[in-house]
Amino acid sequence: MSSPEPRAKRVRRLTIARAMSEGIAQCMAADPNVIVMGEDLAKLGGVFGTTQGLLERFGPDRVRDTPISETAFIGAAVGLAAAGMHPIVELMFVDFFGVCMDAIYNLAAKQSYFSGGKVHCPMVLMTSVGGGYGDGGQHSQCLYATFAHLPGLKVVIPSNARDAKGLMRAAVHDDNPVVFMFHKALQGMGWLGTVQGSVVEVPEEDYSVPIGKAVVAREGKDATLVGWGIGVHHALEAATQLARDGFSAEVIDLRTLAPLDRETLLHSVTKTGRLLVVDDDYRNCGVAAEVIASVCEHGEVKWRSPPRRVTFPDVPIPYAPEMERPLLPDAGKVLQAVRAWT
Amino acid sequence: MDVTIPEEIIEPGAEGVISVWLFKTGERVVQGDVLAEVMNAKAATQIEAPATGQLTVLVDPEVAIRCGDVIARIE
Repeated sequence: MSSPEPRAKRVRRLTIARAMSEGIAQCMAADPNVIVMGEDLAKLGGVFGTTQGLLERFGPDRVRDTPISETAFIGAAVGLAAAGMHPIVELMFVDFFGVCMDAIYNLAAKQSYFSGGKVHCPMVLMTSVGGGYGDGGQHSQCLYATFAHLPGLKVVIPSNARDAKGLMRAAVHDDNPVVFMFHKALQGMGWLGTVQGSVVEVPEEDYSVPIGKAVVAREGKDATLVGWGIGVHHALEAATQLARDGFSAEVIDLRTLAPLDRETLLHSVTKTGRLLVVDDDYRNCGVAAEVIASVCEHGEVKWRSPPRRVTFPDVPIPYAPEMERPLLPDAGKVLQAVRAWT
Repeated sequence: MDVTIPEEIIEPGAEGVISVWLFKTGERVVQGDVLAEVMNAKAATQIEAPATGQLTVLVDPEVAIRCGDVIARIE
């Protein structure tokens, strides 16, 4: 984005928060069955800005503030979806899943299977993930693997605003429950800090980014760095620095954690022979492990180095920033891991 | 040209913050581009480029600002 050609046309860049809001608004305008419910989504427009301007445009019947009971409003969403609505609900922090997991994984995720495909569950569960701003161990987790593990749920997470809008439309149009994760550090809310790479040009028209498709964010030949959400930005930053040393790293943005796009992963690692996964969730049984296992078990890769993962360690997330920051994955840790190979 | 916080965005006596810059120092912007989002009393508003030229950001996100403050320059 440095020294662009002089231009006369305006460029419209959005934060992920605005892109999600715009995506939802376009879905609501197109289909009266799309409704929004959750804590602080109506008057405030979402603590993380996910529903800005929706109350003013669509009114309180379709954009509802709920009491602080995830059990109640996420359970209600499952029922609404079974009855033909397309509810979008927000679990403000993914960490709060404990009180509503029965509705999510015993009801929503199994609706279609239990009914022999006769009753679908077209709901979207938006939820914030990630730490890095000193909010303590019950407001800073990612829990990617916790949700990606469960059959019947799709799980997406955008790394930039363009994908956020397109994934939102795809999620709303999906007949299955989709967990739409968004990383706080990419959201564009000042108090969380914002990784600048998440703010990109976003088309005004309606479009979908397909669920289940990863994308090559940067091409390379010496190693494959895999990330999603903020991990993509750590990988891209590391790849930029590695390029100065003559090391060419390919970066893959998964975009969807379930179903995992194993084809794109295999294609890349078959080419590069090296695989590193960046995952800011806990290490044990994480998505990083699944990515590595998926590539290894295929057996066709000629490995030039053993696969590696840069993850959060298996400890609760500390409240003190001085203790939290050193534990979080970052570009420096990615660089260190790559250099340990060569 | 200075990019200034107008009274319509932060009323006199009140404080707000820039929540995010959508362009960074050194980038060329066109009059009407949304440059930044400003958070004021829990309402998010947008600041547009008053001119076309090269942007220099003067105020970081999350720093208290008031109406009349110069937050960037376009040359």
